[in-house]
Amino acid sequence: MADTKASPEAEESQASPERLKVTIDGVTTEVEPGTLLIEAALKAGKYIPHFCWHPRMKPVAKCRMCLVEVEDQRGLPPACTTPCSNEMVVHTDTPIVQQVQESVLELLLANHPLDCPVCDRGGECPLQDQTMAYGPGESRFVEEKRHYEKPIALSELVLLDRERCILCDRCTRFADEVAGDPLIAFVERGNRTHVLTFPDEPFRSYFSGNTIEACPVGALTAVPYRFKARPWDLEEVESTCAQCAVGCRVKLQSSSSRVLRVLGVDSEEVNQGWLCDKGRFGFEYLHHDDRLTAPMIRIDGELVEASWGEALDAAADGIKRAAKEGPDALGFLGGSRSTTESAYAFSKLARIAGTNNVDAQLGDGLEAAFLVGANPRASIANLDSAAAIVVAGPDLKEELPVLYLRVKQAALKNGVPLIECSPMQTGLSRYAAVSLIHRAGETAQLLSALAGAAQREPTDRPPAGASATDFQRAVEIISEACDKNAVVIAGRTGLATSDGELGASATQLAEAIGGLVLPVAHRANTMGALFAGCAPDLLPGGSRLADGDGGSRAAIEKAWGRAVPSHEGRDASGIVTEAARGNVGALVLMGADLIDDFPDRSLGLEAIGRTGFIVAIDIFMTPTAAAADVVFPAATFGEQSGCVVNIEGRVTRQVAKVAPPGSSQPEWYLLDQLTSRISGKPARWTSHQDVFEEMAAAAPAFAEVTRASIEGAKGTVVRASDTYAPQEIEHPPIATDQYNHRVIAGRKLYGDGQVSGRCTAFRRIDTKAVARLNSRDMSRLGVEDGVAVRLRGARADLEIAVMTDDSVPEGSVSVPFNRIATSSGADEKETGESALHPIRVADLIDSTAAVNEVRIETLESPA
Amino acid sequence: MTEVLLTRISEPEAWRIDRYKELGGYEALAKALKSMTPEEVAEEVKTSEIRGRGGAGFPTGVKWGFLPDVYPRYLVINADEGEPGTFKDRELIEFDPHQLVEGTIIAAYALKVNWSAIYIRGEMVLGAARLENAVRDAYGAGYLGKNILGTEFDLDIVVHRGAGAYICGEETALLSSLEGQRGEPRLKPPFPAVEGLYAKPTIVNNVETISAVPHIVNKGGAWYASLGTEKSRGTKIFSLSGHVNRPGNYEVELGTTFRSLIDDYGLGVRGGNKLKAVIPGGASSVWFVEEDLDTPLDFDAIAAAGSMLGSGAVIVMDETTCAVRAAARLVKFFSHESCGQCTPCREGCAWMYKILTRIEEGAGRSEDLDLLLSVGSGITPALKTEGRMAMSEVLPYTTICVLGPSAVTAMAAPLRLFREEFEEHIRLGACPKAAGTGITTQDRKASRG
Amino acid sequence: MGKFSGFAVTLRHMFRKPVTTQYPKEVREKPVRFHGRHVLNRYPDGMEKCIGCELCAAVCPAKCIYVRGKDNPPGNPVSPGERYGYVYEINLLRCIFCGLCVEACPTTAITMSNMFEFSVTDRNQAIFTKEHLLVGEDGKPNRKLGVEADVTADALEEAGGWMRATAPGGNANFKEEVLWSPEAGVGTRLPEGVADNHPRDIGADTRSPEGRVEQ
Repeated sequence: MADTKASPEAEESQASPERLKVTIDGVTTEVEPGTLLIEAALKAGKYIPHFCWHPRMKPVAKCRMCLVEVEDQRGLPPACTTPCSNEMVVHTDTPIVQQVQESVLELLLANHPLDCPVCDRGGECPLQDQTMAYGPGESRFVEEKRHYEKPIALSELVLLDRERCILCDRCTRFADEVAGDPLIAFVERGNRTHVLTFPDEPFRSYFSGNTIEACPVGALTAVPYRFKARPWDLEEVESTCAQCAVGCRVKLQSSSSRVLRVLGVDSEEVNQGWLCDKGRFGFEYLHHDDRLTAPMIRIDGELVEASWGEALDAAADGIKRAAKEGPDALGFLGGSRSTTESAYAFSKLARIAGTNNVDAQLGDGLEAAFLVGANPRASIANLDSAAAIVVAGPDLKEELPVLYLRVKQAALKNGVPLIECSPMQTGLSRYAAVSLIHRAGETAQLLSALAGAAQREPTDRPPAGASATDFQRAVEIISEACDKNAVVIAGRTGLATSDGELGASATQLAEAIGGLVLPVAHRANTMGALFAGCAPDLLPGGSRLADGDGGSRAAIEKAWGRAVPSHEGRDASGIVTEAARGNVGALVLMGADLIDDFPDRSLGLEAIGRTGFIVAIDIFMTPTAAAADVVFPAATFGEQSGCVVNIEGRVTRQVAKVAPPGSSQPEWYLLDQLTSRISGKPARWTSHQDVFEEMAAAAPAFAEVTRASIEGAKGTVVRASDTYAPQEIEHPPIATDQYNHRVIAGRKLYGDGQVSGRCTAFRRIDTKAVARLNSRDMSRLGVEDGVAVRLRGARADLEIAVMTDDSVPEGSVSVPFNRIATSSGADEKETGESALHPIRVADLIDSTAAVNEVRIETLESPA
Repeated sequence: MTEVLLTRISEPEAWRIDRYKELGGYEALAKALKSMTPEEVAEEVKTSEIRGRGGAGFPTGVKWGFLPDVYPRYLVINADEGEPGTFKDRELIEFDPHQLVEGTIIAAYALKVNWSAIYIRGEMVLGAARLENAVRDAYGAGYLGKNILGTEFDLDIVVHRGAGAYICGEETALLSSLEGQRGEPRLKPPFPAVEGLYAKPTIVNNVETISAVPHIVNKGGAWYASLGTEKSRGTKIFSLSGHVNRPGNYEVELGTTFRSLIDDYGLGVRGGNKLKAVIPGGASSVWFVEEDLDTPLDFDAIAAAGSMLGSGAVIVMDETTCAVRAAARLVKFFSHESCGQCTPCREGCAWMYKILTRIEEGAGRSEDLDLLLSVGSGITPALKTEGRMAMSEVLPYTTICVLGPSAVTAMAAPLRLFREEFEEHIRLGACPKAAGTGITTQDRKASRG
Repeated sequence: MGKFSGFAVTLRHMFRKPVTTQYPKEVREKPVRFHGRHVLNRYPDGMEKCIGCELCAAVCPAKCIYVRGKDNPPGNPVSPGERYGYVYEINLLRCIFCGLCVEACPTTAITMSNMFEFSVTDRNQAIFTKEHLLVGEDGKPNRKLGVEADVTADALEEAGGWMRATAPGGNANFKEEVLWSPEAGVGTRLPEGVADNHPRDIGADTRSPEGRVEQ
């Protein structure tokens, strides 16, 4: 059943019986009906010059550069809007077509400033290139050119030079059609037409950077790249973005060993060429002065620089000492920010050290077995042709922006009905057929109820406070979509709720409607880390440790020459909870920050305080690393090669482009050294390929994943050897206190994390945290926008400004997890990163509870 | 003068519904709704062989026949009369708005439309007010709304004021504007009859065309077809302006000659001056000279003579007119009104205007005239450089709509007719016509808006 | 007979004026198109001509030029327009003095002077930075102290730049307009028509043909 569903491509190829024969400049080619002439020409190896046409946007035929002659057809049709018909004969190089091309270019250049030498696009400019190829050679325009103020800021990230603009409509179309943020538009008319934002409303789109890449001239330029280099300075590699788990394909460009620019690669499977601004501009942290450059060890309470040998010895000694206390005295956290190779090395080190207490998700994910073994699993491309999409997870626009684009495109362009199950309205609500807004933390109940209703089990009242009419509509939609490849997107809806049964409920719903599941995770390589075995109950390859007494366990033990421990491991929350009780002797943290990046900050602080020995492998001196006993500087995105696995299970390559700072090393290297010191066997690996080969040999799931098959944008989709089959689900009842507000703690795209806080590009974007409340709650409390209130949580109190937002339902309060809540947050950012921010949203959250509630108190007005 | 549409124009207060009814108004509506089927009404219009009065001259009955069997469908009346020199619709709306409303109701009935819009030029303040009143009164009298005259037919009319863009007179731009988008022409196909307003089948008709419908229904299509010539039936209102002794709107049977229009109706060229040129069908048509005046006012005859009947705006210029300045003024208009989406029109019109102004201001260069024609050929590649211009040279054109080609005509037609005058401008560095008048090019520069 | 003819040659040369000049006491006049070390020019108002476009670096066959651009400070712009060259370095040990950088420069910011006297004792010294390359506000070239110590102030005055007088786009109908003046800096770009009569210099009055200094 799963196999037939997973390949809609096969159906498509059968569904197109007739093909059209088109002759372009004497070259005959066959195309699908509906193909545009300009696409057919590309297929025939004939380039028709164009500016406004973009393969991913609706054609508008505004630039008039692609006019061609078609035999037996009057006039000069534009190739970008003319669909091919059978036996069409097209000429693209007749004298009249050439005359038109020359004149269009002369006219475009008439008012185009010739400041190519200072233009960021100079050297890679379609207008330059096409002028050289098709242009008239010299201009006859002697009048004064059109003048505008040079350049104006459309937003914190994008600059617009209207003099250079050729009004091709690409950026405005992108903003409207693709991003759904129509914040830029043409104003004025005729020769005075120009692109502008609305007054006092900047182009604040999460996807604004794509307009820069789409611009066929240098009218739109990026603030972070401005005057940093010229195109011929740049060297590039194709890699995979490391900002979130969508795994967009990118081109990483650098000059003088500094990453200067990231561009999108058009990968049909994943990102279709688009990137979010965080992926595009969030690389500056790589070259931040705060990067760790040498290993450090704690001597007399002070962290001091040490040699690699000293640090490795110290770390190995500490781990070995703790390991004597038994497997539960060790905790290994992290891996989801690293390459799969490094995560594998991490998982291996944990197991060699004798424990299964290893987890990559750091307390904000779902069941590991569900994430790797979701079955039948959907691909991102499945969304395009799905019969319905159910989104039960975080606000995709904030956490997985390019996946949001794909879902939005499916809903808007392909008319796929979208059902949103979310504790508050999200970026997708606008496109949803039904938004099932319900009480935070009870998403699983809702999904189970939907599954039941789809199987004709009547529900008297929809659970979790969702509206009955909406629920009914959702049921109608999913019943309609039964057995037609509906996709259920499932992820943690927020950090203040545990969403314990969400994976099981999503699987149950998918089964009920004969659909597919697409589990989503937050960090870039969470899937890779889980597939590498960075979970207490998983072995490399994603096979279950508990029932893995068969082939996979044996293969791994053979490869390692060691028995895999068989005790029941603890997950991240379990490890941190135990550590907070003082029961953990040594914690090894790889890109894991228990203070700033763990839902339960007080628990994290407690755990760090009571753990005897901490090894931190990181790129910055995070608050956690500052409390560690040994700190290793790690290489990161762009500095090391390896593979990553995205939410679909797609394995693609990340490629090193620049040298890591100081003596930083890829994690797998230092983990191998540690493993060798602990096991007493010599270190094995000299390159990431050695790691990959060992992993591929040891894990049956990786059998088809070869070094060659993961080259390129498409990569290979890996499937876990054990699929996820949930047991009977029991939803524990959740008590609600009606004086309390339930906390919805989601992440915002731009936050104050260790990484994005160090990207100068994002510095100017306001990231101050506010609590959002429904207008009725606001009036009940008698507060106005901008007024500070006190949120009394189970763990701590938080003073935070409130804002009216009716996308939050009554009785809930939405707080951004990754932003600084105190009003002094902005100042702190200016003065640099203070190690411990006094109060964060994470202080409120008790990660052991199913849901978190707060009481809201108004503050006494200052006298 | 054969007045059909203009019969009530001189009647006092014919814009009031009671006056209109006294003068025989809304009789055609009653006849159509009560005794004819929609198909019969459409057939009558087809029989009349009336051709669209907006400029293109496409047979209205044929256009109505293009509607696919898709509902809802819309009827949009193009009252965005913006062609320089055209003022017939304004007069029809200001003095006889009910004629248009009645025509709209009948046409909507024939087309099985239940929602219609009249897109009126925003500058026509009086006209819009009277039209809005007329529509309100028609609702009051039961001619609009639900169950009109007790029949099953429902119709709503919305009067929409434009915001002052010439391009919105182009039917697809008008539809975009009506939808609330930028007034930019759309790519054709699909034509509005298939995919128009809100992507539904839409008929866009001119005010004059629709105003003729009540008369066609009243007196029969055959009667209407008996007027005019074989290919151009009926009467047409010509807006005569410029250097004539009596400018104004004149409704004549098609087939009358230009000479008759200018001499008999316009009472000749002003001051007994010699005629220099005539713009026969709005600013975008090829200029005529004295020898062309015996051309009959007939769609095909004018086309055969190399120009077009267009909207019926006849602009007469006497010998004192400066051809360069006239061309510059016309091109300025098109440049100002270009919507800006197609490169050739957006940049080309502005460039042509800049060159013409430079010549007019005395800074022309000898190569400028060929440059002008060459820039023009960027919009209409088949443009010739010598001899009198023919309307056929604007095909093919490189733009989406015909505004760009219109600007080329406005530049190339006078340039090729009066090339010596242009050359003299360049040679003298000033306007030869201004010599002796005391007007310098500097004065003109100052007076240029 | 034969053996004396050889002596004749020797004899003849004995009475010739020696070709050797007493450099550095005597300095030979250098040809007009001498490819000496580069200078970066300024406009008369003191603005730098270099806009940091890196075309010189791109065209350089020896890869000896390193340029980085930056936004002009809005209050106090360094060059006209948006961008200026804030790093400009030439490694003169690598430079082959081909002059392609001069031809590539869109603003004639870089030209070549007749200064050639720089000997270094350390490879790093051969890297001339913007500080040394940029002419002073008065248009006179700087010298790199310690490397160009022998250059007298007079010799600096003499330093003449050149531009290959080609029309942009290679237009044969290039009109006789001096393309590239007035300026502060060395070198004048001449109209194509008078290309055969190169001045060796400079100065504020090179605008008019009469003002040109004849050799």
